[in-house]
Amino acid sequence: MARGAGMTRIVALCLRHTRMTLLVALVLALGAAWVVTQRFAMSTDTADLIWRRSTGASTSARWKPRFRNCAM
Amino acid sequence: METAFPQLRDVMVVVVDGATPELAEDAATRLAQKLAGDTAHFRRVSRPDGGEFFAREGLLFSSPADVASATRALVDAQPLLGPLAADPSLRGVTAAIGTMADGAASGAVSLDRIDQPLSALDAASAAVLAGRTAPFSWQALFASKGGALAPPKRRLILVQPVLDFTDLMPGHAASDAVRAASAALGLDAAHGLGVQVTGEVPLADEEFASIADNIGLVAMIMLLAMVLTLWFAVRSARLVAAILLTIVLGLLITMALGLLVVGRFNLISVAFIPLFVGLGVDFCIQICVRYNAERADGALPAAAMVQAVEALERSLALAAAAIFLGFAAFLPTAYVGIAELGVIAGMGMIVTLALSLSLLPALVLLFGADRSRRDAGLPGLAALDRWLTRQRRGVLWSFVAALALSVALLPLVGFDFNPLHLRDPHGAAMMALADLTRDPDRTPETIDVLAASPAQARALAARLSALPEVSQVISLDSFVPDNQPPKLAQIADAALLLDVTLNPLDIAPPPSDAELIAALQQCAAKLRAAAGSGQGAGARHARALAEDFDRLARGSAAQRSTLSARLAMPLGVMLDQMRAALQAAPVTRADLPPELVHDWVTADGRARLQVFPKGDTADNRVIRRFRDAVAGVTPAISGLPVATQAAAGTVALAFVEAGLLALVLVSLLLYAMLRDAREVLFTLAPVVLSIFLTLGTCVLIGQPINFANIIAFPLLLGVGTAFHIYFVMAWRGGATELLQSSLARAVLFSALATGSAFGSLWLSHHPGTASMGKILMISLVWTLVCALIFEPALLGPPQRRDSIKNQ
Repeated sequence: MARGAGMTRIVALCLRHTRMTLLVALVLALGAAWVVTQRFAMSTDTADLIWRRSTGASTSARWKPRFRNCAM
Repeated sequence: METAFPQLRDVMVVVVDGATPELAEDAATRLAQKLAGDTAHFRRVSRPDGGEFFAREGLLFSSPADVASATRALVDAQPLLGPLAADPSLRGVTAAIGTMADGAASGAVSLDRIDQPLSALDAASAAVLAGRTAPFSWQALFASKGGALAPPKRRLILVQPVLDFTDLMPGHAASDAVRAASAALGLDAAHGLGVQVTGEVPLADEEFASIADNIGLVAMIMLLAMVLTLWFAVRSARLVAAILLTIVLGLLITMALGLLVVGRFNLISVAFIPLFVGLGVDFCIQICVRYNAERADGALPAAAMVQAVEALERSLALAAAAIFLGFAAFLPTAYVGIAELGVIAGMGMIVTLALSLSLLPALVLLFGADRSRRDAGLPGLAALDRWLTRQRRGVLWSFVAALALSVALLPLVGFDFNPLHLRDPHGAAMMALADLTRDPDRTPETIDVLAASPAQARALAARLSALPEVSQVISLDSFVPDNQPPKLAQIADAALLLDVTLNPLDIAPPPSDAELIAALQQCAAKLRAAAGSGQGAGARHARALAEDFDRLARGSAAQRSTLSARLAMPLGVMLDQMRAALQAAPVTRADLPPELVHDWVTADGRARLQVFPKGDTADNRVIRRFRDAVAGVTPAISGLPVATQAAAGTVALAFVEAGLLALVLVSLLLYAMLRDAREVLFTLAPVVLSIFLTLGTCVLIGQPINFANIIAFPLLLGVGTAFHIYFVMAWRGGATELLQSSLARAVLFSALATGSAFGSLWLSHHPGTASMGKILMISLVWTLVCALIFEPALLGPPQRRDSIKNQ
């Protein structure tokens, strides 16, 4: 079994520089919050779960319920 | 198909129900006009079952026998229609009834023959006198003998709303605009009307609304369950706070990374949240519980944290790498929903590991040290530990039996990938859809076929119509009535006879109240004279109507005005429809309205066919056979049944592919790290077992797998793999009495935290989310059982006894 990935050293470093670690975390939190508020997007189209938009191959088979034929 | 017919996408259906056909038609006409004027909310408004073309040519779509019956009924009603057309008011009605009463009095006609209008007018008059709402229908009266002239009490309006994609419910404003317009026009129950909204846009909006419905309660229970379980795990408010802050930050970073890399979330990839929280909580609990154990052994906080990570780093690194590979296995599959989930959750895995090793220790140190605790493990499970050692074989055989049962049940696992089944059936749009689809002609389970030309469309329509799974095929040709000459001849004959009747040269001006009083009294006298002392139904109703008319003549002007309005509005609608229907002319394809043609044939000549299934459309098997049969004729198909079947196939294949790939990748990783095939087997066998047990349980409780709850399986894979890696690593390090160890405590509470928190999704009003909570709970229970019972029994006595005790 290979050794761990130096995790103990990372923890020791963070424990020695607690304030710096927290500051980095705060900056990351603010940056992430900014990205989320600026770029949040969510598709509710069930068809998007199944076919890749980029291929375009599926556009003829995407789910769209129809309510036509009402005239008959 | 959507490129060829863009007007068919993002459709909203407004369903107008009236107590009478006239009310429905009048309301639909007024509402459609109002909506068409609201260009801020609607791009296109059309009436698929109304408009000039269908009003004029509607009769031609009936059979010759129906047309004959309908025209005969009109001709028979001529004596009544004449006065009504010349004076479409209460005065005209009394004149018509008076003429019939005169006929009865002279013996020309029996009162029983005109009983139907007498009793209907008696009911309407009595309702006005009693202050009740009782809509009156002339069409129901005249169409009773001929089905073809009995228009429905339901009318549809199709609208394409202006969608606001900055809103999570893009069509919400348009739905509200429909409701506001309906309210402004008084289209409500008090007026004998109901307006419902359904279609893909309101359904999608409603799905969000139902998810958000009790989300506050569900979120509160989730948080409470999570905090309580964390507290029981680490017995320290400070550690709980440190864990929660770490998870929240990690979630935020993962969300941002997901948006940057993938661009947007979808209904499946958004499930990275439970995955992240589940695995994040696990890593944090492992570290904190071990930290508590080190503290209990007397280490100072900083040293305890370093020792905890030192003891766990190999397990954590291996677990993180294995889970990362497990998620990565979804990337090459065709199921975009889960492939994107794999990308986001994989990144989340790296984030959670990084934060568990950096922010968590810093926060633990920042919040200060609690008193060291003694209960770092689970000493209460000592008896179970001993029992497992004694009964190892029995326990293993029990699991083998459970596995065999689950495998036997595997063919019965239900896959329900119909997206409509994930939605709240009590939602307004879903109820409207269910109501609408009771009519087989209005089911959404139709298949659209795109033909290269009208000639090909005709050939395809003929072949498709011959299929036993198909009830009917609609194309543009369907709007050209068949067998027109005899029907046109019958209509022309009736038009000739009724022309002057329905189109009088002079129409009387609206009557004054005094004229109404006089007309009512005069008619009452004629009715009494005709009824005499007769005992038949006609005579009884004539006397009752005479009494009503006398009372109305003595009553208030408002009562007379109310009755007049109730009779006049539907009378106007009916007369207009009769006039239009009697103007029917030969119809060829060239005569079809351009907007109708536009819905069925593209400018370059491609044609759309709509194929309807035969049988119970709620039965997935019926729909599958229907889809297969149509696909056997032409591959150029789309529509809900096609998408549902394709989705089921894609999803099933994606999971099989990803499962096998994950198994191979994780096995290779584990073998590279452990260098022991038996230990690889010991790690993965319980994961596979828990998947089978979860599927078996689904069969036993009748829960099918769907788009929403299928995400439990990646979580099962991730959390399960991590748990078993911890146990195998501890075992190979020589740990004994595994169930009493701090590891078992961490695993137990890690599973409980994730299970109880996400199990609370079960309480959601959204069926898809609720089923997700159910399967998450079940899968975590089995993961826990496999980790705490099956894994220790499988591992047996430790391999080496010279290493760490109680890891």
